[in-house]
Amino acid sequence: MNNIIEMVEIGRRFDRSWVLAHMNLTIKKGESVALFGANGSGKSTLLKILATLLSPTTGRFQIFGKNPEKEKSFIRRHLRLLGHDKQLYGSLTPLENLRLAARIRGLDYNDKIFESLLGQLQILPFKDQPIGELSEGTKKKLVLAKLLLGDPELILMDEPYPALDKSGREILGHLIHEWRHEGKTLIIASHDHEETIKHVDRVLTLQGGMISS
Amino acid sequence: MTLFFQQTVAILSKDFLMEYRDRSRLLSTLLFGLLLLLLFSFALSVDPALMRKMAPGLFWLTLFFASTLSLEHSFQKEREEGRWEGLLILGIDPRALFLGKLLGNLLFISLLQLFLLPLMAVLYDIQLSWTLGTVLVLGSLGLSTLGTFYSALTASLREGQFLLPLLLYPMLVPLLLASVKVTELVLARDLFGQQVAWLKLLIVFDIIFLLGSLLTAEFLIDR
Repeated sequence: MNNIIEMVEIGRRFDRSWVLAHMNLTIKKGESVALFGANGSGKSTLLKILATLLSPTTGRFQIFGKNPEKEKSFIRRHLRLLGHDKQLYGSLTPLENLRLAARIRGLDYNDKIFESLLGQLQILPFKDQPIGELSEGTKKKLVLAKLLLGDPELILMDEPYPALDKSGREILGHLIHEWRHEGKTLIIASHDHEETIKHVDRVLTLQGGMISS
Repeated sequence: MTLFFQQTVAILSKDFLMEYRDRSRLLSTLLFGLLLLLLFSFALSVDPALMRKMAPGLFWLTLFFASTLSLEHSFQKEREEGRWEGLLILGIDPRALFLGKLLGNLLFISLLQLFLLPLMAVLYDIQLSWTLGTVLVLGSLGLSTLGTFYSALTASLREGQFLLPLLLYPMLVPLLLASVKVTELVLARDLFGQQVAWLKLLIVFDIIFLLGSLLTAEFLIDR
């Protein structure tokens, strides 16, 4: 399987407005792709469709050669999404948030592994502090730590840079470098062209609901 | 342990831990239940015989009203910060999420009952028994199941918290009738042996609600 994503004539409508229309997209396994576009151009919608959280209104697509309508759970097991929302539980600690995510994924990890992940993201000192008391940057790093659970094939990132300071960006850059080295497929939707372009093989731009290379 | 049960237990223990850390919801629900019981008691205090007769209905109404406070929060908190989508993308089985939430609500309602029962016994002069305990468990299971179902259904709607009682209460009518009737019979020592039939009806309601909810959980949670 060379193509990890194949989308044909994809369209998505919210009420009366079409956010995506007649969109075709093919992404090869191991490719790293930047997704640019103005606000409201449909970047987040596209990532949510790829993550099987939204269904397209028209068209058909495959991920990992599977039909998302029929094999949602397989697809979700093999991808990670860093979305706009942090998806964290404020009254739990970083360690407890990671434990919860791992248990739901069915990963039999112990606290040493979680601590090593938190250490990798330089947030180990905050491991027992409730999330609600942490800075936005620290929370974002924890979201990145969640991406490291398991061994995903496809990583989707929606605006990964906001809230990250210089060291956070360096850590993310290092992670992306490692993922690319491991042959994982990456899609990064961002307004930060300068930072994103350093890490990708190909740039796609969303305009008028369609993609141009 | 299979992944399904691991996910169910993960949701249950996460909710338990969150409730334990932020006890305000538990305290406000217990206080609301207490106030309702006291208000009913004051309103009927002129006639102790009438109070005893009305006790089963008032107890179940108190339980239904007070538990709505916690039920509406059950899925609402998953809507905040994209947690619902976060759980789906982690690959949670929607039925495991539903069952975890249901068990959490059942635990919460059981705690509410444990708090209200002694008070009820004193205020309304009723005798506690194991049979009464069975009735309470069965009634609470039905309430938790329907409550969790409608909590999931309304959580994504803009005015969901107002819609929940409007949708939930009519559906609870058969359960309320059966629970009140069987409680009444248990308290009256069931001279004609009718309680078994009502208990069976309560069990049937529970099974129908539980199976129906689990069968529709995927559509409800991952639509």
